[in-house]
Amino acid sequence: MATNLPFEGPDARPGLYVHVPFCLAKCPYCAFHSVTDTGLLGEYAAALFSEMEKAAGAFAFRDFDTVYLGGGTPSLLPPGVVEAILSRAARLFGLHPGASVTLEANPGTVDRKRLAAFRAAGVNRVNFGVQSFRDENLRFLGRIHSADEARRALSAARDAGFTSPGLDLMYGLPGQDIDAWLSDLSEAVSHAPGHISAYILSFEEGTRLSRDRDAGRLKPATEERQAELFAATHEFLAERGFLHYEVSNFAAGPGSISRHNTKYWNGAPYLGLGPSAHSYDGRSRWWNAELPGYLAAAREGRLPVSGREEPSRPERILEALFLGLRQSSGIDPAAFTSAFGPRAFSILAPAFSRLADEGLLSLSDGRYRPTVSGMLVADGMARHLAGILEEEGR
Amino acid sequence: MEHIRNFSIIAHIDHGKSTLADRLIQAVGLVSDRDFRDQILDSMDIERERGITIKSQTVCLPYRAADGRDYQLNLIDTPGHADFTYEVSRALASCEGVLLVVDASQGVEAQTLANLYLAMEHNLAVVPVINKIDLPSADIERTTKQIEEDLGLDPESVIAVSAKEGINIPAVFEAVVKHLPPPAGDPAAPLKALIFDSHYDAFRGTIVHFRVFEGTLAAGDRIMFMNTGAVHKVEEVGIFKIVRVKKDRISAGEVGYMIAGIKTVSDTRCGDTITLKDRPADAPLPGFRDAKPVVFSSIYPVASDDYESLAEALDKLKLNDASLTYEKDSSAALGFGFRCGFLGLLHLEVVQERLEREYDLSLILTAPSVSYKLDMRSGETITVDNPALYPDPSQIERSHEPYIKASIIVPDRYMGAVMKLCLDRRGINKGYQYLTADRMEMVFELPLADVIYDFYDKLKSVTQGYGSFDYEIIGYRESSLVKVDILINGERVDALSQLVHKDYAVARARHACEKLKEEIPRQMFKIAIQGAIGGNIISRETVSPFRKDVTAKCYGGDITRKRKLLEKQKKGKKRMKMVGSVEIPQSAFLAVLKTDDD
Ligand SMILES: Nc1nc2c(ncn2[C@@H]2O[C@H](COP(=O)(O)OP(=O)(O)O)[C@@H](O)[C@H]2O)c(=O)[nH]1
Ligand code: SF4
Repeated sequence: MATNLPFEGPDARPGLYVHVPFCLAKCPYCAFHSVTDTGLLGEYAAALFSEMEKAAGAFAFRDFDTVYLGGGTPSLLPPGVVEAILSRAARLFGLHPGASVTLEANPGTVDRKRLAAFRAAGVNRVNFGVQSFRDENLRFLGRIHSADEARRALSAARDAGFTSPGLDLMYGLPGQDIDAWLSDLSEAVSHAPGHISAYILSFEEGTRLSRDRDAGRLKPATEERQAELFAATHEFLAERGFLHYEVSNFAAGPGSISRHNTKYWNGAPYLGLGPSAHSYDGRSRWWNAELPGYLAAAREGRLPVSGREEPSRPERILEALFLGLRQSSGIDPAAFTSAFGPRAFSILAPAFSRLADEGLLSLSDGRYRPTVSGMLVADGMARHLAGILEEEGR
Repeated sequence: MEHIRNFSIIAHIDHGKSTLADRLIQAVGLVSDRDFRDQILDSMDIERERGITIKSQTVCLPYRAADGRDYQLNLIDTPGHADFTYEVSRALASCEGVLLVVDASQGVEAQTLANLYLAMEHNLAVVPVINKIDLPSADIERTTKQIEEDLGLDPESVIAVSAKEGINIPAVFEAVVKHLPPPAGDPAAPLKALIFDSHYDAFRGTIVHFRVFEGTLAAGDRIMFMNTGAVHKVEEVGIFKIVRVKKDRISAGEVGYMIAGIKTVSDTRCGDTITLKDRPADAPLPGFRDAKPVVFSSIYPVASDDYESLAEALDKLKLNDASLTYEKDSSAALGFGFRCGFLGLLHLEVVQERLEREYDLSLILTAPSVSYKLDMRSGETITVDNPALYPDPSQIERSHEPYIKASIIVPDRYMGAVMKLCLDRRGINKGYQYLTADRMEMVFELPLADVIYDFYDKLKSVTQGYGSFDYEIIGYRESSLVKVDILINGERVDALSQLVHKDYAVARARHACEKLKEEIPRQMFKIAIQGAIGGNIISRETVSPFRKDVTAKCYGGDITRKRKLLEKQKKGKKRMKMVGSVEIPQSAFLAVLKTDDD
């Protein structure tokens, strides 16, 4: 897996993220910021437009080469609004020629016509929150759509000109075994997606699912099971030509990786617009208020920024480690050294070797890349390495 | 002297000694009811909570008796636990009589008996007091019978009271006056005063508690401690009436305190004799012995930055606790700490709790050890209480370990269970006797090492709480020792080494490995835990590494939240000790010390 994929590092062009915080129903596992009161869509759109104006004046981001409409459920937006967002982005910040423009879509909210309209508005990648092709799983996950709707949405997307749509899947559901999951996954592959995000079901704090687990109403997959499923997923998709380029992300080819998400992971700058969106300019990170505060800011004519931080050196190192180790591109000693100095790297070098001895990392093309089992303990490795630096650094 | 009575209250733990003492103090009006609790309470929470008095509180009670005469009743408090037998004996040596308190619902127990024997050794007059007669389960008749039959005391002299409800308290005062003898002694003779306690006062230094047997002690005197030879000038003498009351002199038969510019309580010895430097007594009072620690453990701060605070805390505790010993110790695994000596396991626990609670320290203690005597091939004999200092076994000719004589009182239905427990602990049964139709006293000789390893808890559980226990140390016997080491990923964790009898080695090693496996959280790498004697592995466990330690989703650009989560997880590890590349939580060290849950 030593193919060098497009790498959206600190020198890359900025990306633009737009958060659309509306869903028709709240899924019981979801911790993302979204509300079901779609009556606020209009006010939201107006607030977003005014934020764009102000942000263009306040921040230096120019010439985005990725745009990502995420949520929530961006496919709830009228295509005209999407169009307006993209044309404003082009006017206010500039869009680089050939920029990838992705829209996240819920299969229960689109048809061919609507998808075609999104395409006409400038969207060139669509990513469906399919989650599963099994109705019982969809019910468990509280999704508003059926498996058939997902199938129809995928073919409608193709008809609308999205040749290789992406799809999100979820596995590691209670009771799910390898066979059940692989048959689900194999149906996903049969739709020839350009991209698959396959997430192990996680229990986020504050969600209904985590309350159900705490109350003993459902039993999460064991760690062993999750590890088996993860390995099986990798193997299954790798055999079918997919690049496992991040813990949960697989691309049909180097051209299909999510360049936008890759920016987050490699220190590229990005501007986040919309409620709760996060931004990074290479030094600072800041983030917006959630919907009520966001709308209030617009009414008062100010930017909706609600928090900001400038990560310290140890914080930046921890970020570089945990993000790098999630990706097949791993950690580049040269880049690490130029960012954090030779001493930091020399302290870590023996630990990298040890992790390699344990089969969690492999050194290839001069980079420490996580193996499949390594990816699954990326957080642990990052804490371990950061801990060593802290001890030695004293 | 006719108007003085010196007495103690003795009782099995929880039978109501402290409550009765409180009631007596209250009855003579030394303090108002409202201030009562706050003033009388031992300053030490831990003693209160555990219901054990460790530092005694002596008090002089003024009492006008039924005969119309005024008496001075000196109540000398005694520590209430088997670990402090010697201190109890010095307090009793200062008395002419005791109140022996027996709980009306529990009857006579091991410490009742042990205390009575002690009182008899000192030829003290005994007034039996049955307490808690207010309880529905109180059985005065049966308890009186036990007092007569088990203790051989006159049933006619029994006073039945409720200390809690204040029932029949005047009868106790009258009995003290009538049945306990007044002290004797010559105020003009050369001074002989017995130190039975001392405590530390932040302003005045050490306050020595003593009983004068012969002669008189006055402010300004130059005194000498006959056993240590130390000389001091007396600044102040007086008596205790809750607060200290200054007097010009304390004479034969009286009990009082002395302030003499003595820095720490360790500069005095419980049981030492005070005499005048210029007119010394011919011989010290009998019975002096250096209270030596018998249980040892190393104490380390979890955070190495806390070492200084630990040192200060021990210094402060030591001001008031002469029997606590400590010296610097260091461990490759745990850093700097102290090797501490204690009078027993309870003493250890009390010190640990005070350090943790009053000084807010988070501590790791190593497995308690007794002190072994090793005859070396070279011909010398060495004493070792710290596994880290255990010499090369090939150089040891013979080893010896301390034994105790234990008295255990139980309802006879538990006889088999107690017998099994003691025999399992290498005990030798030295006989038993029925105290009543269904209660018996069993006497065992046991290795002290087996008693400090969780014996109390086991005894309690096999007797469902009905067993009571008292012990004294009787000397050293030959043993067969080995040092069990614990290796983590092949590295010896010095702080987990234990000296044990060879018969226990495998079980102990296995237990330690199992507990460590339970307590050490899974980490990046496989962790091998082994128990070993020398190069010989006798037990092993493995902690398998994490297989999944990553969040599935990380997008939306919110890197901050995710980083903070990792930082938080990383912080959790700060309370762990790194041994080689393995993080071991404090709880793992503690768990190794505990036996299996019953
Ligand atoms: N019901 C009742 N309880 C009592 C009496 N005397 C003491 N107690 C209780 O017995 C427990 C132990 O008493 P304490 O004086 O601390 O016992 P010590 O360990 O002998 O000092 C406490 O909970 C007291 O409140 C009594 O006369 N009646
Ligand atoms: S549709 Fe997506 S964003 Fe909305 S609640 Fe469900 S998972 Fe969350």
